[in-house]
Amino acid sequence: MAVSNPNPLLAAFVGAVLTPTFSAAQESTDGIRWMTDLPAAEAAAAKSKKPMLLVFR
Amino acid sequence: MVRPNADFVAVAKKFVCVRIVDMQAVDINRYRFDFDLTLAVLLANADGTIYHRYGGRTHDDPLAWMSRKTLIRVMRATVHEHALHEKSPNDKKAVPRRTVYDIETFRKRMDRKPKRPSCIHCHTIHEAQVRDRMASGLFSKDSIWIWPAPARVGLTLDVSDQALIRTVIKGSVAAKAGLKQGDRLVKVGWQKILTIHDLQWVLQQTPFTGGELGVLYLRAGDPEPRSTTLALTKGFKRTDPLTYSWRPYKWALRPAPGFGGPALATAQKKALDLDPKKFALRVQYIVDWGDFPQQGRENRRKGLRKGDVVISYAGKDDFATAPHFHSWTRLTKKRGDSVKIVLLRAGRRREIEVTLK
Repeated sequence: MAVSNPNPLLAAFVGAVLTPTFSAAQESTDGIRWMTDLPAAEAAAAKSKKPMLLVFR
Repeated sequence: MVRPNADFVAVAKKFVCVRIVDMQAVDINRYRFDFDLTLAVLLANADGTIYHRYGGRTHDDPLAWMSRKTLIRVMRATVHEHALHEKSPNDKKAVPRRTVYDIETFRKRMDRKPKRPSCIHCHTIHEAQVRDRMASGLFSKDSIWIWPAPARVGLTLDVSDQALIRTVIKGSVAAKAGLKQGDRLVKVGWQKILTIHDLQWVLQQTPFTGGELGVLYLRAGDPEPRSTTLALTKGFKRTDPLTYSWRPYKWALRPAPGFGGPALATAQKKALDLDPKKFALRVQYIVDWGDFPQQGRENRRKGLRKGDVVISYAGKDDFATAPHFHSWTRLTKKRGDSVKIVLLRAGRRREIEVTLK
């Protein structure tokens, strides 16, 4: 997914993740699912045994 | 339009990715970072372990320490650390959950409003903590020095490879510890260092009064890491008003100038026949309202007006920015100090003297 912010760092955060229109958990066309519900993300990480990448913006 | 970086996408798929824009429900005991930042990243385990922190800035650039290379590097390293941690997790002591609404004065302030805000920004947390300490009489000016930058121990780290030492300030704590340009930090205290914010976290956890921090580092050509100690002295966290000036909660500190406005641009200063290299600020507002109207009232009483151009404050005319002026006043002046303000009004130079409240 392309993003409108040209800053390369912000662009690194993929698709709509850092844009104002991002509102709910969604999967970008790059296949990264970004969650916004922290308890749900913690439960998903515990279940999947994956680490968490938390972006505070 | 910019496409995301393929390396980032590849490693991000190994994480549960979370984006937080509202701090209302966030456990601020668990997810600790410099809440004043525009952007911060935590790499964590669901059990509460924080592997690494990524973020940090300079006073004039909120993204100065941001680097995609470092972010991808720390994400890759975290995948390995996480796998090891999952095999043998540390015994973690449960830390009680705490949200911004557990900060008493903040909760009381919100309870007086007809409804709770729809969003709490990260920087609100620090402001709330400072105001709460002030209200409870526990505030100390020492406590405002938070998240010390590597420069506080005499280091500059490479922005693209943030464990790598770029410079060591002569005579600094780091120099005395024997660290040199080109060395690579491995661990400081208990924290593996992959980012500038990792080092800031260790320094943040060290008391203002100082202490000793063990350092493990690699020197080029050495087969094994070396070890040394950073001997931090009392006050090591303290920085200068310019470096501090980006922090939003400076607004909560007193004494305050009680007025503000934009710094004049070079062309504006030239038009007023002012030295373009010196500071000038147009008074856009006088704070004689809100929680702290006393200073604004004093300013008005002594003759300050909206539209005045302040060209010197307390004998100082070299502020780099308007935020620098605000933080300098708050960090260097005391209540009761008398301050001379030199200003221009309708082309005429005037002087007034105010007492800081």
